[in-house]
Amino acid sequence: MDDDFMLSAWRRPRAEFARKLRQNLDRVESEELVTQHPRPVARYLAYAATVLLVVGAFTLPSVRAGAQAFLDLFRVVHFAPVSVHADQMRKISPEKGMNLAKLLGDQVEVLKEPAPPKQLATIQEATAAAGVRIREPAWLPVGFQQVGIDVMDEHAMRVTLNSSTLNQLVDAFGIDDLRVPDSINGKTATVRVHPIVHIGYMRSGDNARKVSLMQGRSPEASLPAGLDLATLAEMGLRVLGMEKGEARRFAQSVDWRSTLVVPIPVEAASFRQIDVRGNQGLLIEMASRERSERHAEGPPVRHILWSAEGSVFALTGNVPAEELFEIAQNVQ
Amino acid sequence: MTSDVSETRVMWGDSAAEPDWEAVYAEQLPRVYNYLRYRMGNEALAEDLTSRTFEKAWRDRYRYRRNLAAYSTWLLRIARNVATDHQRTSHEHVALEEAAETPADGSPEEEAVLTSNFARLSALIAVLPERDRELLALKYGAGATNRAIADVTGLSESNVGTILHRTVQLLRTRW
Repeated sequence: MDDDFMLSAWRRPRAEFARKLRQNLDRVESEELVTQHPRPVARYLAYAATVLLVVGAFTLPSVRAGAQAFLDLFRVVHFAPVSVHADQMRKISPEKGMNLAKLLGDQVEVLKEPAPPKQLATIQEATAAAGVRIREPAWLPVGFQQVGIDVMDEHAMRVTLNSSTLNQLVDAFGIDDLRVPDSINGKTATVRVHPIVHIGYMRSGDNARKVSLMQGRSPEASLPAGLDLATLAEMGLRVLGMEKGEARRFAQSVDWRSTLVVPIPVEAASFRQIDVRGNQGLLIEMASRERSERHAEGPPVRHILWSAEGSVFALTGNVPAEELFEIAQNVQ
Repeated sequence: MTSDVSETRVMWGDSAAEPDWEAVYAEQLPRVYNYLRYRMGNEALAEDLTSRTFEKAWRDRYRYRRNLAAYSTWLLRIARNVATDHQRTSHEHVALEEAAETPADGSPEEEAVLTSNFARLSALIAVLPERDRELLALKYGAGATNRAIADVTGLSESNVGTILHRTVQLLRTRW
């Protein structure tokens, strides 16, 4: 008996098993793209911002292109929910080839690589780490206790624009009526995501529930001066699958220096706009509680996103909508 | 901080470099599957636990950090936890002969020999201490190096080598 003998028992998985598992993982991807785990929400906020940033550069008016750089600054103040189909969402996932960093290759330069997340003991430490006052809910449902605080480090990257690469990107989505002008070549834009603090709350026992609150200064994108942001947004919306005419109308009606698109697959979630302490917020509700492994019990997972005083908040929990709403109203 | 909290951790703005998860799946599926097959000694159970491993990994993949572990090590850790959780909740020890149901590549005669040999080998592995089965599964199922096994198990690399050598010797004497 030797290594060869021991290895002789090695087998490739059955093809049928591998195929079915891959299908299951596709389903998992589709579900995760929605909102069941708070990460995809934030992830797609970032992706949406990046997509808008990149495609927006297409419309840089040549007359102003050579002027000043980085005069326009994007910050999240409002959220614009956009219904999209899961198939389209999958197209813009890294696993399906829409990996912007990969696609853009050398055009993306990481300016600040985030350090590993760090656990913190107090809100004061979190405030110091985030560089902005960290808020807590003054009210929680009965039985909930804070179970941890951690902070994700800041992250920044610079994108050098290139018309030919960006046109390939547009072509990949079948958009043939909008092209990137060569005048954008060599211009740069930066995206900066500030430290994000996560506070976890949990109720143990038979009626176990979880709530988490993420907050941090609004992500920022510094754009080359003179971008036509409405057209930028229109292109971003087209990438997300919105019909041409609707994308144009939608894009013209929004202030894109302060509004971030939140793609929400219609198959798996619903949403409505709400008021959170006088600020426009967005409530996203999962279609099924079965979609969350960690929130398997209780009501379906819901998310509330809002922005206030330069910070962005995301509250997630498998508690009734009225309780989650009440928690959001009491974040102060 | 509890693990529950870390599981709900959100990362806004991870590294710009995203793993190619399609490639990870293609490359790691056979390794994870064979790790569980060697460890559990049961084909159907190995498939079930492989599914659980990948589904868990897929749900958590945005938390994967390249600078902390290789994909293979990260996946094997998940697979180990899945297997351990299964063993904790199930006291079932399945007959190991099922593990040899999948046809091998080769002639019918060769397949018959390999099938018979693996059934016998599985029976011998099944009575080994849990730690030794684990190391064999990592070594021959997952194809992990001794160093990678040390990373996953917390044992020293030299200790891994010693235990594996002794275990294979023991199997040899019992063969």
